[in-house]
Amino acid sequence: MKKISKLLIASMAFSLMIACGGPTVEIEYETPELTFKLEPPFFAGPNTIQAELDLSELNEQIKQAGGKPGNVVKAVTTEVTFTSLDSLSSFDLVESILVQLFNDDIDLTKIAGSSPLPEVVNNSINITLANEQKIEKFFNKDKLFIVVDINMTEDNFEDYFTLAGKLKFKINVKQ
Amino acid sequence: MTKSLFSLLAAFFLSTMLTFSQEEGDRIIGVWEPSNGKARVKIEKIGNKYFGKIVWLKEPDDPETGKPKTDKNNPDESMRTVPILGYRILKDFTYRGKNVWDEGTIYDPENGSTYNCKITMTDENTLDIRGYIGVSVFGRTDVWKRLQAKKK
Repeated sequence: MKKISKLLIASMAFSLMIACGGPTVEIEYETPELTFKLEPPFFAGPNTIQAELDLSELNEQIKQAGGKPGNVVKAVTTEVTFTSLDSLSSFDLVESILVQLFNDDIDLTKIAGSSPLPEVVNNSINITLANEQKIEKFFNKDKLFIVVDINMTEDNFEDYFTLAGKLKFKINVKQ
Repeated sequence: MTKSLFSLLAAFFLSTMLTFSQEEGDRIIGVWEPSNGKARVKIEKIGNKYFGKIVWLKEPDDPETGKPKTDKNNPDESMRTVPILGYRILKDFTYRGKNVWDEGTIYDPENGSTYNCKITMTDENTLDIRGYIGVSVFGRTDVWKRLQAKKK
């Protein structure tokens, strides 16, 4: 009887391993350059800018690497970079930046944030990555939104504030 | 031929209705002031949902510390240093038609509690914000007014 129950437990554990595990393939995914535009008028304090990211290019990349789109099991942000596109977009106007992912079915999830901002190099900044990230669910959708909460130091009534953003992710997907 | 024409008309009708509903839902976008006048909340759209965050405080500094107010009543200890200014207190609202946005939550920084919430636009510049626990019968309604841009 004891042997049977041990066998049962072992077979259940094995089935669970097959269902949850299996070989995966790792992909480095870099988004295309995304434009984040804040329309005037905007005011000193918190403002939100967002960009939509279509994941069809990622799904092609997954297929080419031998993975199954929609079966992402792990995802980690490895780099978030913003570049100012015009004179108004100087980072002098920015106090802090918080970067989050969003989809209609998944809560806003922080992936990076800097307050105060890091050193600006060649008009670009690298945002500090969040320690804990549970973002794999986003990559099993057709699209996601990158939401940037940006704290401005001054009011502006006439000009656009525009940033170009590039993000990199390490993604593990089932084969 | 008749069948394909019908499908085309149905698709056109549905997409028109969807666009109309989305545009109707966007009427909530703007800056609103709760009845106590202590804060202003900017409602915006992210994806297909509506969120609101605090963009202005009548008293931005904590009288005890003299520093900008933080979310010191949050039950999650790790959140207590997060500034109140910029805090997203309205989350995940969906437009249901008939001037109602629901299935969202509202966070009250004064007691650190989160409530289910239903928003009804009673006119273009007035929102009834009903926070409740469980069923909406047991709750409290606050009236928010749209912040009007000053004419030059």
